[in-house]
Amino acid sequence: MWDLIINPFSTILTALYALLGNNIVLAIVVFTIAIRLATSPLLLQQQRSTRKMQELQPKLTKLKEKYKNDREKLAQEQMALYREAGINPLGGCLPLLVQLPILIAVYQAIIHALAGTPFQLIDLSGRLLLPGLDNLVPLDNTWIGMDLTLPPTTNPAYALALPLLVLVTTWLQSKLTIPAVPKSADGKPDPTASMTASMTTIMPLMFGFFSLSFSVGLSIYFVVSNIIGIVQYTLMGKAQWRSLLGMAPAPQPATQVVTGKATPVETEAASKSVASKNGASPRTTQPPGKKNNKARAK
Amino acid sequence: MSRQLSTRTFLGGLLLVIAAASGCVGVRTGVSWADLSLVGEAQNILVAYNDRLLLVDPADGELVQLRDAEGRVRNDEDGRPLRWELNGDETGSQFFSAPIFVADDEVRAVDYSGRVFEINFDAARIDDPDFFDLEGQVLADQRLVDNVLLVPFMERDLVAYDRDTLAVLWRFETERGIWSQPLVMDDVVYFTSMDHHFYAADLETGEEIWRVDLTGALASTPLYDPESERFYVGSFNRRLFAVSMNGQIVDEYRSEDWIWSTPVLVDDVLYFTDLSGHVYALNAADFSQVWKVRPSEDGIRPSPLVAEDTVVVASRGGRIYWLDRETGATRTTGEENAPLVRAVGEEILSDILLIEPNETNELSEPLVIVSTVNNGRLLIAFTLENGVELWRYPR
Repeated sequence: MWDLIINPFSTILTALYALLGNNIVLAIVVFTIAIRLATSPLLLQQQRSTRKMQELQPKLTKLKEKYKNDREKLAQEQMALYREAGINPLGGCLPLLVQLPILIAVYQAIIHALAGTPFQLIDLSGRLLLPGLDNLVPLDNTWIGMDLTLPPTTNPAYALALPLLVLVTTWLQSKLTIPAVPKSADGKPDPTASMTASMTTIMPLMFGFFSLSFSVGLSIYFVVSNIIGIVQYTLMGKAQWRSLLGMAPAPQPATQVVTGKATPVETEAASKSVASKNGASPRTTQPPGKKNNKARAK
Repeated sequence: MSRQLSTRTFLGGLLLVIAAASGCVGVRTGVSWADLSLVGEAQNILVAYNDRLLLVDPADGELVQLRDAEGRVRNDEDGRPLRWELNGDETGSQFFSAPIFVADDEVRAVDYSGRVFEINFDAARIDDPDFFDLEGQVLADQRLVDNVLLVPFMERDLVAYDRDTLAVLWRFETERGIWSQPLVMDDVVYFTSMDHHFYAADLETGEEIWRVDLTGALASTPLYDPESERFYVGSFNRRLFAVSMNGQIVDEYRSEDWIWSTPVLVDDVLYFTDLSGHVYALNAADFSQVWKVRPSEDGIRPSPLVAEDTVVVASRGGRIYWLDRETGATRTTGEENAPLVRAVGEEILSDILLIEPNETNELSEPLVIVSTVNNGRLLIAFTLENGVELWRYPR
């Protein structure tokens, strides 16, 4: 089943290699940009869905409190709330689930196209769907003195800059897309948000570490992908550059938060969002749910 | 929202990394498949695969027992027989090419990273783990001709070394490396390269005599037919070529997929396989097709084994097929005329061995030996006649 995605991707990557003057790095860059652009609608849909879910958070919390001893009733009420708001609770997951195999296929296509060993090369056979691409094999997988099929540790010393770049760009992307940890009603950091925030440290370290043992070609893919992700979030107005630079986030109009059909629920959430922003800590971009909880707690 | 997004992104990323790290490649380890060769009158099977060098007795599929000068089995301190097995793990080595005998009891093994080990063959012991470092990756078998050791390097060059001192005699650079064993005839070295060229060079000086572009990567050793004075070589550009002694393409045949194995010539018929599972029989003289079959939809990497009236091929799907040599049809067996196909459940990429019975090995009939990529099913022996499985190593 994977071949249905991996084979066309391997073919496109190899064709790009031919079109771009037998330059595999350029091919990886262009291919990664194309894939990120192609999956942009999924990213937008995912964002929209999760935003709607978040706007419902105050009501969900209220329901949880109300039916804390009746799970069945809670589930029914939650579903009713989702119906009322026109939200599919899995709406945020599905785009991600669609993106995941694409990302894995991109990853595998790059590994296959780079093919530096017999095991890798034999797996490339039968994957090139366009006639004439066979005679490009094996692709020239060297770049500025580095063998792209080998990890940085077995390349010239300057190849070690790539895991570092992976680390930095992953951190930057996480930092720009994950909000600062807000305080909960009792003044302590929200544990879920804290865990999320800690990922901004763990993920870059993890990817940086993996990049030490992955091939240099994959590190290039990670770096390019991260940079494109940062650009995408910036163009969508979601990158929190001000937060990253220690500046207060620019106030956003409520209409930017509320998207889709203007149901009464969303309108209510939007108004709470504006209220929360007015009163929240300048670094907090977690507006409606938390603030609403806080108000109720008081 | 962002929190949910980040958690999912994190979990997704983690899954991605795990899936990618696993590579979805099952039990494969290392970079290539096992190299099998036969040693001595007994035709013991010398296996080079990953961190192991093994010598297996074809009679019973057990590791060969070490013997002293009087022929008695040597035992360890606990009274157990000592067996022929070298573990490269101790030196961080991986082996994918056959060790070379430089003397009756002295073997040199070159590991994947180009380190040369001097091995006392009778004692199955590495005498000198730091004997020499060739400084390059070695995947294919080397060739020893008199005092010249020819080493094909995976990244780029063919290098000729002095057998004893390992001093470099000459170096021949190709653009993409050499993944197959060179041939030597009449002081000329013939070799193929992943850079699409088939080369001929002077054995003494390494000077190029000719080269011919075969339009696709060449990963197998050419076959030479002394009668027609032609070479036959398959390419990744889905072609089998006939090349004259002076480097001219004299014939070509278009296959369905990449050809990664050396063709086999028997009675003026060429037999070869491709990576989409086809098996071909061509008249060597004019490349006219005798038959073409596709017993397996999985690719077939190893060269076919042609013996008596049978062609044996093994697929990446882990199946072994006994084909009729005249027609290419799958042979049948038993009263029910069931197709003579055996499944071993693991990918087969190594070339198939045929071991003929002789006085030393005490076999009663010819054996077909296949090797899978799984260390747990490294060798499997079948009878040539009817495909009965006789043993597996390890058991």
